[in-house]
Amino acid sequence: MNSSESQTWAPVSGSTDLAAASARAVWLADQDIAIWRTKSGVASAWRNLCPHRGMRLSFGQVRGEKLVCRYHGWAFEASGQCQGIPASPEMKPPPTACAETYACREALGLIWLNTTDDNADALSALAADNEIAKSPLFCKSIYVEGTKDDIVERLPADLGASEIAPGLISLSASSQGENVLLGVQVCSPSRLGLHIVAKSAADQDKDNKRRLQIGKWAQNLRWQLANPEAMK
Amino acid sequence: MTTDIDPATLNQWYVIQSSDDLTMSSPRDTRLLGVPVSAARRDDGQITVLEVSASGETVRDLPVQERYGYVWTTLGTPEGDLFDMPEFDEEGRRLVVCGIATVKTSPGRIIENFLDMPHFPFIHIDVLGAEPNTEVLPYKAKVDTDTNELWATDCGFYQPKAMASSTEGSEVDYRYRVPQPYVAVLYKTSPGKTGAFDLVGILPQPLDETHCDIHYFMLVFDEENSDQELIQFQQGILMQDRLILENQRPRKLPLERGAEMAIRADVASVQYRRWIKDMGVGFGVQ
Repeated sequence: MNSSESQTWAPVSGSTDLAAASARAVWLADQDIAIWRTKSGVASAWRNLCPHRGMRLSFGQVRGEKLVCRYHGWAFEASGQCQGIPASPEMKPPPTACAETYACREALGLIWLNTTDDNADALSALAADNEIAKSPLFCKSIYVEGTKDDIVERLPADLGASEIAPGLISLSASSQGENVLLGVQVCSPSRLGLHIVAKSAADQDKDNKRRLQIGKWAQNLRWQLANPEAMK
Repeated sequence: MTTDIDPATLNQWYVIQSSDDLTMSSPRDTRLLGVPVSAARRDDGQITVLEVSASGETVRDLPVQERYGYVWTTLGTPEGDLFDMPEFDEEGRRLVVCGIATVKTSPGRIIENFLDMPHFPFIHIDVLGAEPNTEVLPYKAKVDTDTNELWATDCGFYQPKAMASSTEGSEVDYRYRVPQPYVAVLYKTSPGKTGAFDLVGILPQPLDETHCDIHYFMLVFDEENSDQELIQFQQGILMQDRLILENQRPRKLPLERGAEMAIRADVASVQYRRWIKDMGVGFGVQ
């Protein structure tokens, strides 16, 4: 079931798990990454490092459309460029005062990032002909210790798993009787994040109920993946 | 094993415990520069510090000095005596030993943060600083070539609550003294005595390159606050710094030019990095 194509876009969070005006850390292939969202809703993914004194930017505070480093209050706009240095208010920050940015886009109810290029077509092609992609409902993220191959191997056979694109697994039969997609995040060689997306019913009450049901199912799945011996 | 440690780091005195906390009934087994050491006070009051092997056997006796309320030792052969702190002989001052804070970072990051004023309004909010008073006015930082000590002088900052005894915000004058790479002392306007400076000292004991036990003290003119009140104030500050210190990357202090960018307000940091690099410090840096 392993896809031969390499994965360039990787999901790192559900879109709704990153609130407006918030920041947090995620890991991708052992890289420490800050994701944050402006007050107006734009999501960004940066190397989790302030160019000034190495502070992890995920500890920063979002003020309007800028991410403000916790340590000295350097204010970075979404492009990564620093726009203000409080210790030297009159100074125009030089171009070197810039956070290292990664391509970051939202699709399928998830936040995706790409450390190699910013090919939007490749992202929209990931699940182009999948029903869920038309109206995705992000439900829950689960995290499991193990390599990607290990974890994929452990998915119960009756779920009918197939990797429809690099880093995207379709389950044809969840216990809820509907298809779901798993976005695969390789946090490190030995830790995996699975972001679970179902099809939205375009009705808030129904979607809330579905999110709860699938969340419960996902917790059970996480336990099964974490305890392969018990499942034999 | 000390063979892989550079001489500049090795030939320093390091605090491993406060005098008061090293009692006959409480020896201290710890590490210094990655080497297991064991300090004990004998029945006659004398202190022994031993280098110990990984299996717990004594390797050798280490030099000991008891000064400024602390027990100092070294794994190398320091040039000359421990630096002088004449303030310890001044009438009316009170030494307050604040304890130990274990922090997962290099000693260089700890000293540099201690010398850093621009973080006050963002980390020590409404205590050592507050927005919008964020500007760092020009100050001086240079190495005194006679003594080979680093000084940052003419530092000033508006502080809402500069010390435990402060009752209102004030423009506070600062001076920093770095007598050796991993010891720093701050002189700041004393709220308790007009025209005088209170001292805050920070003495990181490097357990290894990226773990330190920070010993810290105050030497103050203050007749109002109890030791406990002063300790709580200083511990509160250090715990706020710890959030930063444990989340800086890399944990080792980068000495390469351009590894991290600096502005005018960082002149103390720039001078500090240059100074320890020129000295040949290779431990806890990269």
